[in-house]
Formats: sequence, structure tokens, C-alpha cells
Amino acid sequence: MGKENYALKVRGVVTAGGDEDKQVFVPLAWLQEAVGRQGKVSRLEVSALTMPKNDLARKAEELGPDALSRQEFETWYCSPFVDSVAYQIEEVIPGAWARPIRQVAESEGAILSKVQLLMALLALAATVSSVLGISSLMGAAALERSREVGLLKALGAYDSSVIWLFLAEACLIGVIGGAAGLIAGFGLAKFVGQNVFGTAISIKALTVPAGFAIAIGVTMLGSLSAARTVSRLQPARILVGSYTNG
Amino acid sequence: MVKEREKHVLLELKEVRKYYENVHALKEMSLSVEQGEWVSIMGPSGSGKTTLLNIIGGMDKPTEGRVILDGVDLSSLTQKQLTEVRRDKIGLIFQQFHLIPHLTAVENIMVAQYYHSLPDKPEAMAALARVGLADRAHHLPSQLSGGEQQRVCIARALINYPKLILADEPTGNLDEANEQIVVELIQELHHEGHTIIMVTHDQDVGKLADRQVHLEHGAIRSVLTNSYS
Amino acid sequence: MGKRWFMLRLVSFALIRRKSRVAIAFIAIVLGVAIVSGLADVYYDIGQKMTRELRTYGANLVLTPASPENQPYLALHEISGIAARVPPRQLVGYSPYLYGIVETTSHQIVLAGTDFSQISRVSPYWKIAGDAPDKRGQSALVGEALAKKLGITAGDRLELTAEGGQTAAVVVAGILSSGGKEDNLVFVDLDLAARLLNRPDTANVAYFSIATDPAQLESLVRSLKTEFPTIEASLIRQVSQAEGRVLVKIQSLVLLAVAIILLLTLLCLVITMVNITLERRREIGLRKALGGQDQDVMLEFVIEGAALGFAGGILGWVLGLLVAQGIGQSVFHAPIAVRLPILPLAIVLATGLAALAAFIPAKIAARVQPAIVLRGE
Repeated sequence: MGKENYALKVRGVVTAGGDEDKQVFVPLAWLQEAVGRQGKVSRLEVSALTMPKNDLARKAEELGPDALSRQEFETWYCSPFVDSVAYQIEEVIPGAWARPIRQVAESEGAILSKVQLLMALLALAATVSSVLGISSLMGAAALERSREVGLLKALGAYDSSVIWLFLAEACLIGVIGGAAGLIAGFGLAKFVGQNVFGTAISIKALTVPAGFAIAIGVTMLGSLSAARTVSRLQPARILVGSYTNG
Repeated sequence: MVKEREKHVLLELKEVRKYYENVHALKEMSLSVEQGEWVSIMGPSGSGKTTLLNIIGGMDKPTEGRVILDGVDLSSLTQKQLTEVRRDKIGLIFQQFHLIPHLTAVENIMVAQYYHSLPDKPEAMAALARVGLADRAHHLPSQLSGGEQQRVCIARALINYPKLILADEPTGNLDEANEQIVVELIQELHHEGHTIIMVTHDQDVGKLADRQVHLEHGAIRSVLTNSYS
Repeated sequence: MGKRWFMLRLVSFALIRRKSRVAIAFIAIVLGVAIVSGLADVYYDIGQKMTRELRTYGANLVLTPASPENQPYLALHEISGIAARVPPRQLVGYSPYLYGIVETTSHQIVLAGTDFSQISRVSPYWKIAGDAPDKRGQSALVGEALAKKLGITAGDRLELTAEGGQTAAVVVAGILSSGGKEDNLVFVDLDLAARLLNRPDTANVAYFSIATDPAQLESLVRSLKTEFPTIEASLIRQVSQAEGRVLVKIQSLVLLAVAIILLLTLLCLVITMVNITLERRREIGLRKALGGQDQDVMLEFVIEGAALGFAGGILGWVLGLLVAQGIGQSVFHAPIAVRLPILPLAIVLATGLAALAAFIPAKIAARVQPAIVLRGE
């Protein structure tokens, strides 16, 4: 194949701060034609959504996928780890040599796990705040009903049945509040997704039962101390409304 | 004990009415109380006893009519002025004692001094000694019996030399022994010349007063005057 | 005894002797302030922390000769001069590279000389199978793709011959894998490469990893251009831009979470204070019945709330330091910088809110007729 001259028009100048700064970019099909390598590429870069490495992924990386047990291998193979994606690319393109671009893959994993841990801790802090807040609200609500409790006890209710009554109510409030909170939470997730990431945040089905469980648990936990306080009140004291002991 | 009473009217109610929304708590009530007199107000619950006491004590305002206490027409006063009247002229004794739970007996008395003028511990101690509680001065209300709490309440009512003592069922929450002690204290105050208006449903306690005013459905049904003195 | 003095005693008794009730409000204040001030510390430090975390991306600044036609090499002393210009706390690491073609027994290969001690700092993402190379031994790292092509494994000896006839023998310490162009190179110590290629004290390129935000990095690049006209400093955009975006997203996410927690916590604090004040409605009625004016009675409650808030604010801030350090250690394995201005802020916020939270219900209670004390309910 002899030398041939082509005239190309420069449409733009690329600045990337990397090797790209020293290269000329042309359409792939044109170059394949020009160098007589139709349908061929020398290098393929893949951008894939992967998950951060866990212990299994690190084991596969250290020892190679062959060192995994059958079951481990299946899990590893079916998870979107960057190494298992590369492994599968080598499988489907015979003779290819696929390696993760470690600069991207490693740092993504590191940053992702930090952010996830940070968000988990923030969620924990929010849960603590919620328990405190609900506890004080339920405390106020319970004290307002001390006369009602006095009446119940005067009618022969046990301390435990008063506590159960309050907890059953808390449970109901938790269900209703949990439903409203989940709807509000989905709205918030959508808002955050659009404003922070510019995409929708996928909503996991697991958040629905988990949300209800947390709502009910937190409400019941929050009202437990109030329920105990109220249940200990003496019926007579409540009916007379003695100030000094109140 | 015979006392030469000058006929000085301390309190005068003129055609006082009180409505709560559509409930007539008091229907046209007129009453005058002389200085040094002991009046007991009696009647079934809902007859308007507490409403009447609240209005006399400047803690509630009548819907109509006038209340004249020591020459001052309460119905024309602002809330702030009413507070000053309570502070300077009235001593209150409550059925539930109403001691501040986190303050000791002597501190509870000093609170009344504090709002009136200046807290004065020796004087407060003397007031406690007078009701026989000098040794209980540094106890919290929860460490005192009901009778002791009521005696602290009486000492507090007296501490600012009020013109008028208002007692709301002072023996209502007490057992017999304590009731006796408190009744004797009130009698003593009466003999010293204090003017006392006492709400009670206890016939035996009510009979001890100079005058028994019986209320029914927010109006005076009868007035009985004792002539023992 | 003075009036004010007695009032302060009343306030202190109310705080000291009502232990269980006051404790509830105090705990609410302390926990609330702890969470909020701790998260505030984390929020203000997160940019710094994430910037450092993001250095796992490797270098974000590259130095090349300004006019390669005239002067194709950088002088090492210029590179270290630039390194000295970067604040030491921000400079994670830098490594110069000297490239050249050398021959092994069978092939021509690209040789890269670098400072091995900087690899873990500038290129933490490199995976090295085998041993890390050391400077004293004549050791080398071989890129994975090249090693596969030439059949080289760790422990092999390599004879290298340069164009000028200089030779060196090195031991392959490990096989390097990065997924990038490094997979096709052989790395040796910079001094060894300089001797082989006969280019003492020079480099083709130098990579810097600097922990700072993109805006500061841009201004550093601008000032380097004027100070060192023979050197072209440029940002590695793939890295610095991605970092900027990630940083902004993380910060706004954390800000949002902190704001929600702040609201929740303050709400809880206010509710608790309102509760413990409302419990004392009758006491307020009694004080009015005894002749206390509204403002006197309310002043006591406000001072009580303020005192509680003040103490709770200080203790909460101290506890907040633990919260911040807990998060710092578990997430970043590094302490979070303590920001002292948060202390007065926490105190003012807690004191003000607690006072306000006591004032409002006390005001409502004071508006009620004192007759409340006579109704036997």
C-alpha cells in the first residue's frame, strides 16, 4: 500500500490535558477505509456502570477468578464488578485483552464507598433526631391525655394495658405517618435526583417495608417513655388534679 | 372575745353577674363584707362559689356589676392593676395548697414576698413558726403532709399583711386531725381581726363563721348570721 | 435579700431540683446541638476531605516543556522549584518522567524513568503484582501488556541497551497494571534512566497531585505560567473536571441532609422546651395569683430556658466534636478540622431557641386568668 494524501478540514481543537492533546481525531469509518482495515479497531474504551469492590471482588483481583470457589465465582460473575465485566468482555471478543482503567475504576470505588458511608451516617443522625422529636411530641400528646388515663385506671386498667394502648396507637400513627412520610420521601428523592444529579433516583422496593418498619419502630420507641410515665400516674391524683405532685 | 367593730365596709358587690358564653355562673349578686368579718360561702357544686371567689380576688372580671374592695372599684381596673390589688390586698388559701413543688416551705413563702416587695427570710421563718412549722421550713412540699402544706399555704397568705383572706375549701383535702388544726388557725386569724371569706361545703366548718351565705344556681338563696359574739 | 438575687435563686432551684424534667430538656438540647454542630464541622471540612480522597484519581496537573521544538526537556531543579511553590499541605506528591527507547535482547521497548517512592502518592491506582521496586537495587516494573508480549515475569533479569551504547541490567520487581498506556512501558529509577539515555537531571514530563479545589488549581496554573515561562503547566481535565462535579454534588447532598437534620433537631428542642414549660401552667397561674406581674413571671421562665440552652449549647458543642471525629475517623480515617466559630453559633442558637421555646408557652400561660388555680381540676 503506497502513500496517499488526504485533505482534512480542522473542525475544532481539543484540550484534555492528557495524551489526547497530541492526537488528531477523525471519524472511525473514514480511517478504517483509509488504512484498509475495514471493521477493525485497535483499542476499545468502555464506560460501564459498576459497583464498588467488596471482599469477593478483591479476592478475585488478588488471586484471579480461577481461584474462586464455584459459588463465589457465580456470584462474582453475575455482579457488575469492573473486573467481572472485563472478564466477560474477554469471553465474548476472542483474543481481546480487557483490563479496567484502574485510574477511574479504583478512585470511583473509593469515593463511592466513602460517600455511601457518609450518607449512611447522616441517615443515622437523622434517625436519632427523629426519635428525639417523636419522643417529645408523643410525650406532649400523652401528658395531654393524663386525665383520660386516670379514668381508664380508675375503671380498673392495668399499667401494662395503658402502655399497650399507647403503643397500639403509636403503631397506628406510625403506619399512617410512615405512608405519608414515604410519599414525601419519594418526592424528596425525586427532587434531590433532579437538582443534584440531574437524573431520576430509582426507588427501591425495599424502602417501602423498611420505611414502614422504621416509622412504626421510631414512633413506638418515642412514645414508650411517655406511655410509661403516664401509666404510672395514680388515678386519684389525676382526677383531683393535685398540683403539688403533678 | 368581744370586739368593738367600727362599721367599715371592706368589700361590696353590687349587682354582679358573670356569664361564661351562654352559662350564667352568677346571676345578679349583691353582698357586702365588713372589716374583720368572717363570711363562709356555701352551696352545692356548680352554684357559683368558685366564680364568686375568683371575682372577689381580682382573678376574674364580672360581666356586669361592680366589685368595690377597700374603696377601689375592681371592675374598672386593668389586668396589671388587678395583679397589684391581689399582691397588696389579698391573701389566698387553696384547697390544693398550690405550693411550688421544687421550692422549700420557706422559699414558697418568700416567693410571695418577692412578688410583693422584697424577700425577707427571717420574716418568712417567723410566719412559718406561727403556723407551727419552724422545724419543717427547709422541706420540699412533697416531704410535708397535707395539713403541713396547708399551713404553709396559710403562712404564705398572711405574709404580706393582706386586707382580705380568701380561702377556697381550705379543709377540703385534709383528714380530720389536720382539718382541726387548720380550722383553729383560721379562727385565730379571725380573732386577730382579719377579714376572711371562705368557700366550703362542710357545714361544721361553715357554721363557725359570722355569716353563712348559701348559694344556689348562681344566686344567694339565704344568709344566716351567727350572734354568738 | 435583693430581688434580682432571689429571682436567680428561684431560677436555679427550678433547674436543680426539677431534675428529671429538666434532664429531658437538657438532653434534647445537648443531643440536638451535638448532632447539628458535629455535622456542621463535617460539612465545612467535607470539601477538604473529599478533595484529598479524590487524589486516588492520581495526578491532576501536568508539566511539559513550553516549546518542545527548542527545548524538549524539563530541568529537575525547575520541577522541584515548582513543587516548592505549592503549599506543602496541598501537595500530595509529584513524579517526573524521562522517556526513551531502549533495546532488550529481542525487542525495542519504551523506557520510563521515575521516582518510585512517589508511585503510591501520585498513582495510587496502579496495581503491582510482585514486589514494589526500590531505588538502590537496579529494579524495574514492567507493564502488564508488555510483559505478556515478551513473556516476562517478576524476578526476571533484563539487559537494557540504549542508542548511545550504554547498558544496564535490571531485575523485574513486579508487573504493573493500570489499564492505561503504562501497561506497555518499562519503569526504572529516574537516575538509572538518565544515565542510560544520557540525559542527566532532566525529565520529559512531571505529574503533580495537588489536593485543592478546581478554582484554586486554575489560579495556581495561571501564576505558574508567568513565573516559569519555559514550562507549560496544564490541568488534566478528565480528572479535575470530574472532581469538581463530584465535589459539588457531594457537598450539596450533605448540605441538604444537614439542613433537614437541623430542622428536625431544632423542632425537637422547641417541642421539648414547650412541653416542660406547659407542664407548669398552674405554677404560672399561682405566681400571678400571688401578685406576680406577667413580665416578671415570664422573665423567670425565659432566664431558665436561656440558662438551659447556654449550658446545653456548650456541652452539645463538645459532644459535637466527638460526633464530627467519629464521622471523620469512620469515613475518612482522618480527624475533622474543628471550627471554633461554630461554638458561639451553637451557644447563641441553643440559648436563643431555648429561651424562645420557654417564652412562647409562658406567654400563653400568663395570658390565662390566674383563676386556673382555684378551679379544682
